[in-house]
Amino acid sequence: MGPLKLDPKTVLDEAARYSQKLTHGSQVLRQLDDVHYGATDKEAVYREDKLVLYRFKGEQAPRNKTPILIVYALVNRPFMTDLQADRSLVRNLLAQGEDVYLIDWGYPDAADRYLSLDDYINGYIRRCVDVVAGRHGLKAINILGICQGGAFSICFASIYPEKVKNLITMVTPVDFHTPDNMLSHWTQAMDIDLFVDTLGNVPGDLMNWCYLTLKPFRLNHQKYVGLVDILDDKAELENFLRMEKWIFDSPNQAGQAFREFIKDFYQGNKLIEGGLSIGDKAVNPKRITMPVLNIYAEQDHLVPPTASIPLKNIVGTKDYTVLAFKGGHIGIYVSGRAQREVAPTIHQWLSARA
Amino acid sequence: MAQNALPDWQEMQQQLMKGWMEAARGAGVGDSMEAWQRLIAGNNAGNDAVEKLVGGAKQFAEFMQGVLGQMGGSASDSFSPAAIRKAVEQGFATLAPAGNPVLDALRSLNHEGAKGFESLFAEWQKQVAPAKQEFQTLFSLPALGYARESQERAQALVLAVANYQEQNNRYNALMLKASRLGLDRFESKLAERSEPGREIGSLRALYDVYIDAAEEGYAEVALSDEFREVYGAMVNAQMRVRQLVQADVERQAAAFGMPGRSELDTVHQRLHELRRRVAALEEGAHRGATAERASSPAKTSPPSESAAATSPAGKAPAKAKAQAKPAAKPAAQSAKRSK
Repeated sequence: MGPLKLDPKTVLDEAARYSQKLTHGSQVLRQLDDVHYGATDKEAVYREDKLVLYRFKGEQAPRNKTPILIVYALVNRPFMTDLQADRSLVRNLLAQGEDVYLIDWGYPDAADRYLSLDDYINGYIRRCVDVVAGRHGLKAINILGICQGGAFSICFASIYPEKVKNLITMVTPVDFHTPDNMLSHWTQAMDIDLFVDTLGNVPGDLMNWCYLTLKPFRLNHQKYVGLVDILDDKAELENFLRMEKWIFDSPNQAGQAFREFIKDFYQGNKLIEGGLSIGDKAVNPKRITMPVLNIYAEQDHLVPPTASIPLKNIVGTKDYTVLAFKGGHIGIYVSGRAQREVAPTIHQWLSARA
Repeated sequence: MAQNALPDWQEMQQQLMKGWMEAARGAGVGDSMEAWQRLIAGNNAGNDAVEKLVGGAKQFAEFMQGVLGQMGGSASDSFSPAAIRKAVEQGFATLAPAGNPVLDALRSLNHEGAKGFESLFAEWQKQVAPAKQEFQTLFSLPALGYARESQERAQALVLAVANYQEQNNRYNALMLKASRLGLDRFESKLAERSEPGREIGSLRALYDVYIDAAEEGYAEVALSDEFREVYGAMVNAQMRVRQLVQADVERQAAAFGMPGRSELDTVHQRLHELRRRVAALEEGAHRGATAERASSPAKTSPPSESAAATSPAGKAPAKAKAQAKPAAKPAAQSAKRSK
């Protein structure tokens, strides 16, 4: 016997269902409005260059006196954390009683080509932390670093431990030389100086293409074949399109910061190997003695769990907690499980360390 | 969403159904499937969401076309994993001219919001075509006299382009290897599904097995040491070509008194360094003032934890004061895209 158990009638039924979905989809598509992300009301509390520091407004006053500052990656927009009302880490944190701030890096242009990691970490992040702390009359605040922003937060907390009360990292790469890290693998033989000297800023479209090539069949073919399944569901279709909009809304990367990040983190693996400096400040993760919560996603194809887990080995804290989330790099923000698990875990963990 | 941007779904459905029925009856893939594909290609211009959607539907239909067209109307359980693999392989040989599904998949990733190295290079080549023609003319002349330096640059460019093509060919060859590995995996997975009770019961399930196998084959190559070297060499080679042409475009622009990229870079770099120095000076002055207040017995206010805690270091005092007030623009405006 062979592996197929098909007959013409089954095939025709399947084809009929498929084409019916396409037909219904045409009606739903006609009803769709433009989709937007960034669901929660917020106010800008600080601006510098293209950066905007936001404070989110909850439906109730924050109960936790120490605010959280979300430090997102430079790639993609930070509003994955607040994609829509029912898929929002920010909204869930607010509902738990947290006070949430977020750095929006904006869209670098050619004038920002020479922004370095020193500018981002010792400059922008430090000033944002100071602004938030100053608004609340505190010496230290909670930092929630996400993906590349998590790596930045580790550097920041190493350099300025006195400014960080609790450090939370989400889907954050620490060890960039694990064998399953495809992105890192691809950068090893690249001449990054030549790359950045030639391109200047690194185009966001090129970054997107690189991410899609991690799983080219799944992310460009299967995903859109699967889209037919939800074509007759307006709400699901809008969710899909909202996510698509976010995925392809990628800022260009400031050339100098990109150069340093690839050379020091991806190629040099200096968080693990040591010898990392941001500007003139040495990064020693052993100085991270504040409580640390590390959240990684078990099915993360961008930041494999093996890249995140070693954080425990490099920090100096005795209060280290880890959450292994059953999902992927994006599902950790938008899945139903994420809505139930991530924000409550963060809130409970912080409340125990208030 | 504008209605005129949408395909004629009703007609597409009829064509799709007709094509699938023909294929399932064993009559081969007739004109109707091709007509359906033409409808897809012709009706989605200008709408990225629709383009991706019909692209996915088209890809799935093509896959089915390959399988059903080869299998005809025979009973499916008589087909071995090798026969199904051959059917898919032949289907892709028709659909992708290079017979390289991985390369085809990578090329299809280029659309609004995602542009790979090949796409960027192709776009950029259009812009520099006049300069390239000039280089090729110079390359045929002896490297003597007043044109010697120009010709040497042209020669360097021709060599760089040749090297890029060579590296790109190596990359494409690896993608072909990934395609074959994917098909090997596909056949293996089909063999696993030949056990009673594990058979594949729908075309969609068969498609999903193919996708899993294709990803596995690709990942095996993409994580190999050879791919790492080839990928880096391909990217580096393209950057060298771009750099040589950019330098020549600058030289030509300079001849017309126009500023080039290097000059703008210099200005940006100097401005950036100047901002850093001013910020450092301001921070130093602020620290000095804070220390002076702290050491003065006449002052009673407690010293701040650090200079930066009371004033954002590296910012002008005016901005430091401004931080205590809400930003001037409302949030809705601040989200405005600035690129």
